Amino acid sequence: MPAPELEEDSVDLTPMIDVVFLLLIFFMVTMKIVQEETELIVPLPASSQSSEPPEFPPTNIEIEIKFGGVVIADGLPMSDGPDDRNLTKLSQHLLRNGQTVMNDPNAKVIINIRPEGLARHKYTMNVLNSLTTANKELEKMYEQRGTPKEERRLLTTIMFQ
Amino acid sequence: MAKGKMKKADIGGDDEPDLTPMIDVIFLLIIFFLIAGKMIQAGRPKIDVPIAAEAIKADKDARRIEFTVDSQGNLYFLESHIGDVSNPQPLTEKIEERRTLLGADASKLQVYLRVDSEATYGDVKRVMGACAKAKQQKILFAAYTTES
Repeated sequence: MPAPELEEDSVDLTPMIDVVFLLLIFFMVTMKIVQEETELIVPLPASSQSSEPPEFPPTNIEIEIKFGGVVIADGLPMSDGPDDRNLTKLSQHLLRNGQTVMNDPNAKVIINIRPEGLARHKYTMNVLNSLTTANKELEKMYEQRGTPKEERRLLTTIMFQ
Repeated sequence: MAKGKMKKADIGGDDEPDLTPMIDVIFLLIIFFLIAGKMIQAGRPKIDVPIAAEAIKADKDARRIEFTVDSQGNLYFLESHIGDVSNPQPLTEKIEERRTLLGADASKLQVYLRVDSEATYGDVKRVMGACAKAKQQKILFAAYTTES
């Protein structure tokens, strides 16, 4: 004898689950779009300039940023094209100068950044990013030497032209 | 096996799976994405900030003042349009105002600049000049650490 057909008393949850899944997918996709902003610190010349003339002439590093994103430091090309965000060559160049400062207490480095007026902000940021990379490497070296934090001399004198 | 089935039927269990825990979990996930995603901050000018791998997370406790410069050279204080970079005087005034309010802590003020990656250096230079005019010693440039 076949079983009698049972009436379904419970509510059909399928449409709700459909909607909830759609909501979930929506929020997951939205979350990808919203990216958290971070920051790069730039000391302005006013803070790093001393009114007294320096006893020993500082070393000037001239960094030019061309309109198309080409970066030249002390006359040498530093970028492998406009898409080179890391500017590894520039970091190494800066690091070498940073090491000079590290080893000679009288040495001082001033970084002059000269972007062309129409050069995009992203290219300036690439240079600042590269400078931060060099400073991080210097920090590591100071750490290895056991130099106290207050005695560490990083590349922080930046002048924008 | 048959015995087991009988037992289930005896308890009065349904043959269909119970969806309640799944719905609970999905609701929890939705709440999580709502809170963690923070959504898009309403009114904040939409710009495409540059990518800098070395950029660090913002210090939430810092005293900061936020400006935005878009690719057209428009200048915003938080979400309100205050002019364009050719006349950055309102920016100087806002910083000076905040520095006065902070009094002794004025040196701790951070200027957070959200500049579009396509904005020109000429525009950024004007803004930096306006910050320096307000005796601001440090500025922070907004960046993404990775490509979205």
